[in-house]
Amino acid sequence: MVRNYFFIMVLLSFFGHEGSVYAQFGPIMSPNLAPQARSEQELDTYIGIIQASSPQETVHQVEAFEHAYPQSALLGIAYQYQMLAYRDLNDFGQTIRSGEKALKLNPDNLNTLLTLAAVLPNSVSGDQAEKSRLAQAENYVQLAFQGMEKIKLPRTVSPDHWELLRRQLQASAHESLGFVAIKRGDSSKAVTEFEKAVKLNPTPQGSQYYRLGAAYLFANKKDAAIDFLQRATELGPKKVQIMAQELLRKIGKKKK
Amino acid sequence: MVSWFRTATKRRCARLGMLAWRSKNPRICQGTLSVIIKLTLDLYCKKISFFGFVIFLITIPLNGQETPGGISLLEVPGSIQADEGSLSLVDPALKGLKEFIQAGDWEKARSVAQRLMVRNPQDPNPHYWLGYVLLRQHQGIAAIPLLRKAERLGLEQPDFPKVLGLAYYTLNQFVLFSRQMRKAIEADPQDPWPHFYLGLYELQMRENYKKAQVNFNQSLKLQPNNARARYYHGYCHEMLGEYDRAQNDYENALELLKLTQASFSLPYQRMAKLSAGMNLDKTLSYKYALRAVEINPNLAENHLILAKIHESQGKLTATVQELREAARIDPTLALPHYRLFRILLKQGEKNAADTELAEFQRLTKLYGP
Repeated sequence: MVRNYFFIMVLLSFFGHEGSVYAQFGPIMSPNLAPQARSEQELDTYIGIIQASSPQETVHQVEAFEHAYPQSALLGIAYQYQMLAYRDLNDFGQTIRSGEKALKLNPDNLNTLLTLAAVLPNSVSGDQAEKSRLAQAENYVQLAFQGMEKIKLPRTVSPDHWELLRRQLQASAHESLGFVAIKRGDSSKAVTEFEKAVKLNPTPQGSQYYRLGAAYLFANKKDAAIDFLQRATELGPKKVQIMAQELLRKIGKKKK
Repeated sequence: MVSWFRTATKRRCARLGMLAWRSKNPRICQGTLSVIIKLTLDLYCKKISFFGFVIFLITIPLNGQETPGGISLLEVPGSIQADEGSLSLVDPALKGLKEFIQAGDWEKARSVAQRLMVRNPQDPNPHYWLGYVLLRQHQGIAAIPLLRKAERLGLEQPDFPKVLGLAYYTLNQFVLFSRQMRKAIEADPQDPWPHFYLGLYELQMRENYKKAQVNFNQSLKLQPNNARARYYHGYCHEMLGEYDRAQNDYENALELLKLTQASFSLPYQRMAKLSAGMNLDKTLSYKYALRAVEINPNLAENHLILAKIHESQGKLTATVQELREAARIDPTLALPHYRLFRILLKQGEKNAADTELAEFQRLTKLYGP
């Protein structure tokens, strides 16, 4: 059982949330509250961050921006870019550091909250640190749920479009909670949360099906696991397909 | 509840002109759609950006006609044009751009500008025009570096500060927008458009009607026959509670529109509202409201005002029809649902009324009153 637990944990940790990048919410929801660049050069540098062609470049651009404009109103969003870049580089420690800096400046940023909630369980090590990180991930998810409830939309976002976005955000939040549950060895809760993620997401994602399949496996429900892993192989992307196929091969494709 | 709603409605009406996106004419919808597609693609490419979303939020309606008090800075015909002189001065090949730009064929214009830029990397003009075209294609983020490069290469183009300022506006960078408009005024004190743009900015973003009026006044001094500037000037009066002056401006705007045969529904809409509100001739307000809908049937507010006038005349079927049309055109509006709730309740249709009330509450929660 212990061996199985670590096996599943390793599998689940391997990739981040595919759907964890969302539109930026928070103060910029209203154009007249948008953070302002104070000079043309400041905006040029900021646009350089957005137009960076690789995560490495994004990281460097944000560092340069931070150095040149430490008081910039755009810095909170710049840190968010840095957070996402570090996440793409699988540098979880730096992802968390950048995300926390972003949150300090824009505490209601749903994107940052959910990205951190997704990444924190990946980075835990050691009992005490693990407990604290997992609790923090849960806290971020709760804050994101609250943010979704109280958000005031600009009228350019139609109710239908918001419904899609909201479900996507909620799916990501439940995915994170499932991951936290797995880390705590609570397979039943993990299955419940991953199921919610799969049901809520308007765009089926292979990674979420894979995680649900793996959670079922962790809960010793092989038949259910096979169904979801097979769905993950259909949905992809390639990395998920390979991992799901590998898991199916290991457990044997046939249902009991 | 009703009292709160009245207050909210007043506030809502006071903001009636503030939202450019409500224009909903096909061109604007097309532009919006392209931005939504961009947003969706960005989401899937994990490249969603702050600016990407901001663009999604603001969506400049290109050539849009109806922006009650909202900013649609590129809408204004003749405000920024590719004039032959500036195009032919440096490179005759740039002339080819003119046709595409004037025809609004942005893809072809973009292709020509890109080719010219590769051929003459030190020539500021292709950078400028490519930036301009990208701006018209709602790609402000891509446009700005090109415009700035053109500036560094020594561009001599009188419209440059206006174009750069508008590009900043699309990214909600209002400090830089205002700075560029002031530069534009310095560069050409006879140009009415920077004043007009600043007026729209004050009106929409800051709700500073007095300051907006100062800018519209200045614009009108330089171009007295600008019906839109006259209309917005009147709109500021209306927002300041100066209804007689507002009416006067709207009437002037209507005269100017008749002279130019331009199509612009808003003065009719506001005249309908004002005359209905002042309990003036009901036939007249009905005529104005109807004309506003005829000119722009894709503007929810035009239907709302027509609905109000129908209701005051006891024509409930027509009222319901107009309210449903307003709700269809703008699914974010809570107001038509509340009014439908009241009417349906009066008619004894409790279930339908409850549905409308629930929708009203849902939309109010999402978007505010």
